[in-house]
Parts: sequence; structure tokens; C-alpha cells
Amino acid sequence: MKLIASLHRFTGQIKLHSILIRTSQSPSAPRTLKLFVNRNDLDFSGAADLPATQEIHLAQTSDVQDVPVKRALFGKVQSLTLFFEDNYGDGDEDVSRVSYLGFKGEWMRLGAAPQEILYEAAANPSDHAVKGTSVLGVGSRLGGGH
Amino acid sequence: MSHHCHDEHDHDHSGYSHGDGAHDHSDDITPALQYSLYQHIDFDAITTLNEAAPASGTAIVKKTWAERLDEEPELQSDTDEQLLMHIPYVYPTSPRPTCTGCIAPPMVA
Repeated sequence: MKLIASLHRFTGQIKLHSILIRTSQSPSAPRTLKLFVNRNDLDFSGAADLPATQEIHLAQTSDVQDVPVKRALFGKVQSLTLFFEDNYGDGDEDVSRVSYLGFKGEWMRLGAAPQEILYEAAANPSDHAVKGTSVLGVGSRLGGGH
Repeated sequence: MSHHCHDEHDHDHSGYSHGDGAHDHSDDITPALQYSLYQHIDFDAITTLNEAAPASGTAIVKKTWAERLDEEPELQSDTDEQLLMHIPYVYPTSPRPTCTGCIAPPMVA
């Protein structure tokens, strides 16, 4: 099922405008959020070492925060990595909590096309033999009638 | 959860399965969120490191705008205060029969 699903998905690309996030007024509210664009390989050590695309200082509130990003840096986003580095507990609170996360921006049709598709103006069936069948054989049997 | 959905839509959200990719929340998009990227998030491919409960990171992203003030589900960190989330975006190609008012992206010849 996973494979079939993936056949119907193409990598997308967005322009990110802002992040919507809801935390809390407690010490569990994350404080520093580092954003990385198009990094598929980040673990905690990588996220701590690399310069972030943008660093955001979150507020300690239970309101939904609409945090704008620098649009020039988030114009071609295929994936976003969010690194919540610390919280308002000043080292005394080991549990960070987030209750809502959303994204605002624009969808870009560019880049949505599958990358390994071959268009042929005049396809030759013999170039695309299917295992267990013979295209020419089928054709001749159909043409040959009884 | 279905009580958060708009009244004019009576289809059931209580099953709340996004696994098949066919379910969407177009009906939850309000004017305040006309730039929402909700439908472009590849929920199945989201990864969250150091989450206390499996898939809780995905769960808070799956919350619709209408569900933004719900206390549950909630993402909590596990062994320390840090969290790392990876969120890919996709082009949604599945049929969207329930989406009558949404604007399709222009086709490219």
C-alpha cells in the first residue's frame, strides 16, 4: 500500500509565509525554534551545529501565534525541519509541549511534475515488451482472425 | 471531533483516518486561513524525534484550524526538552469529490 500511495504523490514545493503554533503559558512552552529548508538528513546534533535558515523566538502564550518567516528565504520549500531547541523552563523542565502546528503560504505548481517520466511522440510497442506476452504475437493473432 | 466541523457538512470525521490519503479537510478552511498549506502536507512522511507518544507530532499537524484550541492531541517531548520535526510537502493528486469550492492549481501544458 505504501508503494502504491507513493506513486500518486509528487514532491511539492511551497512558498512559506508563516507558521501557526499554539503552545502554552507554562514552562513547557518551547522558546527557540530553528527552521531549516530542504534538509532531509538532520538529527539533533546536525540541527544544533548547522546555521538555521531562520531562528524564531516563540512567545509563552496559549494564544495561537502566527509567526511570519523571511519570505525570501522560504520561497522554494520542499520540506521543512523544525528544531525546538529549548523551552521556558530554563533547564528545569524536560517536557516541551506543542498543541497545534499549521503553515500558511502559497502552493507552487512548478516542481510538481514527476521526474522520471518519458514522453514519446511515436512510441514503438516493441520497445516496451511486457514479460510473458508478445506484442507482435497478439497483433498477428488478432489480425489473423480464426 | 466532528462537532468542530462546520454544520453544513454532515459527513463524519470521527473516524479521522488520513492513512489512505483520500480524506481531506477542505471544508475546514476558513477565510482566515485562505493561505493554509494543510492539503499540501505529506502527513504520512512526517517524522518527529524525541516525541513521547508515537505519531503525536503528526497528530498536532493533522489538527485542522477548527481544532486548533483542542488540548488533545498534544506533542510532548520525551527524554529532554528538545524536539525535531521534519515536514515534507506534496502535490495532492487524489480525487477530491468533497471539495466543491476549492480552487485547483492551474494545469501546465
